[in-house]
Amino acid sequence: MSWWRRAVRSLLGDRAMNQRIDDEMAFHVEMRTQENLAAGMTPEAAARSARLAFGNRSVQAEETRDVRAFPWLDALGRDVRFGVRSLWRRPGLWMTGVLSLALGVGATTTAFSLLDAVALKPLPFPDLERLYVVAERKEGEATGGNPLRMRDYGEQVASFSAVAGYFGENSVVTGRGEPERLEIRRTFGAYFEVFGPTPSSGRVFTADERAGQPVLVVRERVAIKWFGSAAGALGRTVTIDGAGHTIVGIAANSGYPVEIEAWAPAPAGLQAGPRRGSYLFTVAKRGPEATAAQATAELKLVLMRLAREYPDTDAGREARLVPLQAELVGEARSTGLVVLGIAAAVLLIACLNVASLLLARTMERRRESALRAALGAGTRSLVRLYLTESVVLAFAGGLLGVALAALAVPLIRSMELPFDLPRLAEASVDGRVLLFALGLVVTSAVVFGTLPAIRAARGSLVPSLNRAAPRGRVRDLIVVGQAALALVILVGAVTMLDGFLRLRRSAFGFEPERVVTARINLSWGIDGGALADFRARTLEGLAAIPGVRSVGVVDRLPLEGGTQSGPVVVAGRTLSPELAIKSVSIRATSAGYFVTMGMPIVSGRTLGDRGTAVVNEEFARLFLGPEPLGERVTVSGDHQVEVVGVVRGVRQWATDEEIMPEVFIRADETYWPLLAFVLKTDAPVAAIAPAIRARVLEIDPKQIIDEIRTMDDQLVSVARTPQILAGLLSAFALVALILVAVGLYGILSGYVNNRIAEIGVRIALGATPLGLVGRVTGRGLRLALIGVGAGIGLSLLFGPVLAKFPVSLRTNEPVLVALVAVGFLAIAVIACVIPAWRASRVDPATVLRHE
Amino acid sequence: MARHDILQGTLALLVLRTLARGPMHGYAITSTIQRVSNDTLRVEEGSLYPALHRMEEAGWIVSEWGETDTGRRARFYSISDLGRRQLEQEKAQWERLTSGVQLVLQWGDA
Repeated sequence: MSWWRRAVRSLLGDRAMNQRIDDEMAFHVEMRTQENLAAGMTPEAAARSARLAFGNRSVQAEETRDVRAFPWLDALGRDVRFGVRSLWRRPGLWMTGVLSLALGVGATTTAFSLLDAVALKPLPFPDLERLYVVAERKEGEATGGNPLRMRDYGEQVASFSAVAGYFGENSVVTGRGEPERLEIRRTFGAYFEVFGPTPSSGRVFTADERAGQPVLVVRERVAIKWFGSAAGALGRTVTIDGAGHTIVGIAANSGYPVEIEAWAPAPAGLQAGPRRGSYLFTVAKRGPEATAAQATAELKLVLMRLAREYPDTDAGREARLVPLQAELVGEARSTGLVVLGIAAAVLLIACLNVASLLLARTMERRRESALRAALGAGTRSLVRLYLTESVVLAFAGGLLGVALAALAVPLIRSMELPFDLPRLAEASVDGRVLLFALGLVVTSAVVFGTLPAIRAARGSLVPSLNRAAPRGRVRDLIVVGQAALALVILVGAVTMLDGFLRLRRSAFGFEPERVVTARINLSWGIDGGALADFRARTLEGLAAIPGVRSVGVVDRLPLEGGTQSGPVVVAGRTLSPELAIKSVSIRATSAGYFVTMGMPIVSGRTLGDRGTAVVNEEFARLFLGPEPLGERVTVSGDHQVEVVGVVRGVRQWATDEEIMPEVFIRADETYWPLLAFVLKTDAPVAAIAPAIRARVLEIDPKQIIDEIRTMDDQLVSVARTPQILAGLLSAFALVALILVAVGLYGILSGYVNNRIAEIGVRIALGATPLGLVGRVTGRGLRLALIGVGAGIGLSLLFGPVLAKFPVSLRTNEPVLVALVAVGFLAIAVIACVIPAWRASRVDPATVLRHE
Repeated sequence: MARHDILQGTLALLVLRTLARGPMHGYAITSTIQRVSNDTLRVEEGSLYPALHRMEEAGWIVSEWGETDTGRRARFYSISDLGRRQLEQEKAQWERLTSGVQLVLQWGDA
């Protein structure tokens, strides 16, 4: 017999086998009896002698069974079977317990699975632990890198074995039918040495090619789309932004980030480009022998040298080495940890629920325990019995919880995900997550199983056959703790929900209604004249579409962040040192932008001739004083403009309520090839989109419109992360609320059950039903109130943790906290009234007779 | 002649040898051993069953439920090929043991 069949038999028990063993032995005894009879014994003597000859039958049967099973597994199996059976007899108990745990484990496992996918799993770069982002700052402000500085780091920091940089580009591929988009990374330096990936066929760039030759590595899926096969693509040429690029390598379809479709060396001109621009994402690989401290120290020395050598651009520049993974997913990690913490609190509430239930059960079973102890059950076997019950519960709940997570994770994955968390799409309930869940289950069993087991052990030592009702202090304490925890979670969820709703509803400073946006990302490197021409003609073309009331263009839409920024100079004014270095956002836009977006011009007029500018109120207040019109401001170092109008400010970031000072200048007076056209129109977006496409194609048949949608959709999309967070936290809070309600209900039911006799007497003596309801409800509400008090204290403590979320939140807002407390108490009342009402319906005659 | 309990370790040998003659149930095994040994050997009846099940676990014997001559349901054991090999081994071992004992007993008598 195979060992696993024995193991299964040991665990599950084999009633048929036991029966067969008994039958076999009975047959033996019977045969002996008959033989004795034949030898002339009396029936009694024959049977007696046969039994004596056989010996102790149950011992022999036991021994035979042990042959057939693993004895230790058998004991475990017996305990588990006992646990399952005794739980089965109490469906209310195990269903509540299993469901509580399932919700808790489900929440926690889901949170972990998301966190793991987004932030914990190592990014798929070779030697990840040796990769650092060179995070530069100049005069206290974070800046990007520069190709020349990158090269200096590579040559002068001996601890770096390689440096690389990149910027992403939305290129246009032409010459293959319809023009199409290509998500491409323009690489600087030893890109593949630092980031991988190793091509699945072909090669990476040679040292010569890196300097800016038109060669290309593409993902396999793109190669197949273009040429039918990876092998067929090698050596072929494609036209990217008007320049022919030869495919030299094919990269696997997986990798981070997965949406990148191709890599090409940055143009030679950019690589040799001026030291002034700071746009590069610079990554260094530390040599295997060097330490991080060494590399940092060397980098510092190099920066000091560069500051002397190039005081114009590099003076006052600092740089830190930030581990690449921390830089790319660090923020997501801290957000995810907070979410996981909240989920863990939900699980803790669930565990407390189960602990409370099991405690109540040990109370009910005091007499059973005493009986078992009297019959010789040791304390250990009693404790084992209760513990096994806990473990059975934990595993059943855990299994169901994992199943819930396996449903929830794909659900979250199927939503439109925030663009900055690409790996969220890879979240799944995999081996790592299952291991985590197993850990949760075991921990939970310990958390809620220990107390009842200790109780059981103590109970068996003092066999209490008296009927005095237990006071249940521990259970009261548990419910207070649960209420406090739930309140913290609720406050967190409501704060997040409030943040999200305010994000969606609050004044952005513009009117998103009936605004359609069309985004066209021209390639970096397009000639300035061509850019201006395309922009002007497109504005003209779009304005001519019937039904369009006004059009405008901007470098980046509100709520999506800034583009160009820097300190400004105001003619005839000495700015305070603080203002003199303050970074001001410079927007490239057109005259029609403000009216299209519904941004009211509060004084002056919109952009006009060359050299005019509009500023927002924030800028006017900070930099210009009461008479802003006519002031002359110098932006981008050397471009002087005259302020002709002041508009009400708009929010730059969806997640930040602060309105930053901004200067709007004519788009044709700066260089920024990413264009967002805005149209005010009564036509629905589906009706107007074909017209927009047609107009753009007329102007430039090689152009691609990246996206046409309403400003409203835009708002939804920028609020995606807050929305997912608010959704998750609300779900957790709902679960917590349900769990606490169940806990309260359970404890009051127990209270009523234990005092059924007392209640009967009270009713017999004339207590009114209302009075009884009040009495029982009051007891529950007192616990809930204490819990709420403790919870408010705790949430004040935890408020600052929410600041880790990438949303501006009103933490510890008294109105919100009060709202939560009142809502919570309302639920508590409902949970209390049901058992109280049952108490008031007790029939005194039945109860007293039962006595 | 007094009846002897079976020597430790020889029960398997006796059972296998008995079953080599043909399938039989537990009670028949006991009585056969007793009868063939002229009542010299007596199997402790209760301990036969754990031994039988152990031998079945080891694959030396197989069992199936059948009917006796009198129409009673009983578990019949029969020897397997593995059991026959085991029987040969145990027999050889037993013969070595008894001839060794014999040699010691005859020592110095000649």
